[in-house]
Amino acid sequence: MATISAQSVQKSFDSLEVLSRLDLEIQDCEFVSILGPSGCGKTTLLRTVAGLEKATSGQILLDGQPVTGPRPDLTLVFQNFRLLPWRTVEANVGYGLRLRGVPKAEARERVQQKIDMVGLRGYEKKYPYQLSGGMQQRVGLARALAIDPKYLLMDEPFGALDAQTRELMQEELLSIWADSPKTVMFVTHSIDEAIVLSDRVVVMEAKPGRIVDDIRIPFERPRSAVDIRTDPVFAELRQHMWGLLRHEDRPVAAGGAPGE
Amino acid sequence: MTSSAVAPVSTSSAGASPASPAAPPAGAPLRRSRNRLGWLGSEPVLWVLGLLLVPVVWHLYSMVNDDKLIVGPLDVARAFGDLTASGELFTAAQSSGTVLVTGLVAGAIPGLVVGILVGRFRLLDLVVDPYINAAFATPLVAIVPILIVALGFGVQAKIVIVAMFVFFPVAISTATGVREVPRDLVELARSFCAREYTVWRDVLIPGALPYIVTGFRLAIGRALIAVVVAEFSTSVTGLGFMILRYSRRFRMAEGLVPVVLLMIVGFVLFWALKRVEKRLSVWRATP
Repeated sequence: MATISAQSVQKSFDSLEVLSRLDLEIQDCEFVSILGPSGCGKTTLLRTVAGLEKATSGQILLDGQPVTGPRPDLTLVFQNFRLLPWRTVEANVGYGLRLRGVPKAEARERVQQKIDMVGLRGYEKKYPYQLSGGMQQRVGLARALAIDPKYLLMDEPFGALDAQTRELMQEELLSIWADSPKTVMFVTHSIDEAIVLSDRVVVMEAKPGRIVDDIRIPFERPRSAVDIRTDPVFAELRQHMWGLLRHEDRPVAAGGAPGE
Repeated sequence: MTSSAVAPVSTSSAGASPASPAAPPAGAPLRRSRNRLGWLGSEPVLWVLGLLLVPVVWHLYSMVNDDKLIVGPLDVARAFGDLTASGELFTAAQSSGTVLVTGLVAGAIPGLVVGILVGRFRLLDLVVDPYINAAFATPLVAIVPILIVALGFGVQAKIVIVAMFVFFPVAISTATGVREVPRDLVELARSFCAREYTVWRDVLIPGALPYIVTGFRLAIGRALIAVVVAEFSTSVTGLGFMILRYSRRFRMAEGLVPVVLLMIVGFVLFWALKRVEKRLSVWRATP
């Protein structure tokens, strides 16, 4: 089982309260998006679940175990890719496997499989600087999936990509997830992205960061992003979430929230 | 350097027809085109000419000057041959080479480790940084006599002197480089449960590499100085001994031979380092 449970998690940086006694349950193999304006603490929440930040009070349980630091069965995908620039595509994808001491032959096979999966066959020997942003994030995704994690945490992974690449990547993520479901926590400030991808969308508000709504997304899986976008239910959900975010009267929220 | 030194000579030989100085097209390199120099302008030719310039001037000067103490490059070359044939140069070079290599290693490894620690841990940096910079600014030659009192005249003293000269540039450059490595990448490694030493191996050292190479380049230059300083001021051995011995007997050509050898060694080490750096930096976009 791979469940995530945040229990009255509170986090402050100095005197600034970023998360205010927040509770959240994520089921095994559920895809949950955390949607909210900039500064609502959604990234802090994700980092706390990942063991990169410590909660000031409260706790996070993964499969019942309290989080004390990074775990081998959890990986992250970052908005700014974070590839090692001095390593080739295949070495970057194999990074987690190498750290875990997976035998070379097995690692090579798994790396190649993930590279094929994200459509980067032929780019194995390229260095990150030779790739476009979309390709770099494919490497980031393949790297995260290569260790076959139970938990996949994504922090605005497509936020730095152009609109078309972004939709393409969403489509690919849908099909990857359909093939091997994992417990996914997906932070985004795009309403569309959250609806298209998720089983549930958790909407947060800022100052202090808290959950204001938790919305089940009714679309059947396997999904097609294109079909969903033209569904009337999609428009309804979108309008509902937009209404929630609009409450935030600060300009940051208005600019960040509408999605693409 | 080489090309600019040769430029006046070649322009005068080729410059009978004053080429009209047409404005360079936009986006053209700022350096002047060398087309006007004809075949003289090709890079290998200029390189060789530049290399010959100083020896030729030196040779001409020694020819017109009667002073016996002013020897020419040919005299030095002859002395080089003699001292090589007798085996004296080799023995001396072996002794100095041992000190150089041991001292380099003994200084570079701690320099690398301290540099990474200081660059990685901010609080340590706060405490140690003033000392490192003060020591780097101190003319280390000044404490050589004090070191000798503590360590004696033996080979250990020489190695310590060289290591000391090497340590600081390596430590300071490495620390600077490690500070420049994006913290995001360190965090990425942590998120994959990397241990501290794998963070060093996979992230900090490769990320700081351009700075580390710069530190090594400085260190090699300083190590060569340190070898000679050590040999002059402790028990006199090796190439330093040869320099002293022959110059005291006014045999300037022989006295210059170790100097030339040290120059060649420095040149070769710089070149080798450059090659290594080039191989290790294939991942960087060439500007």
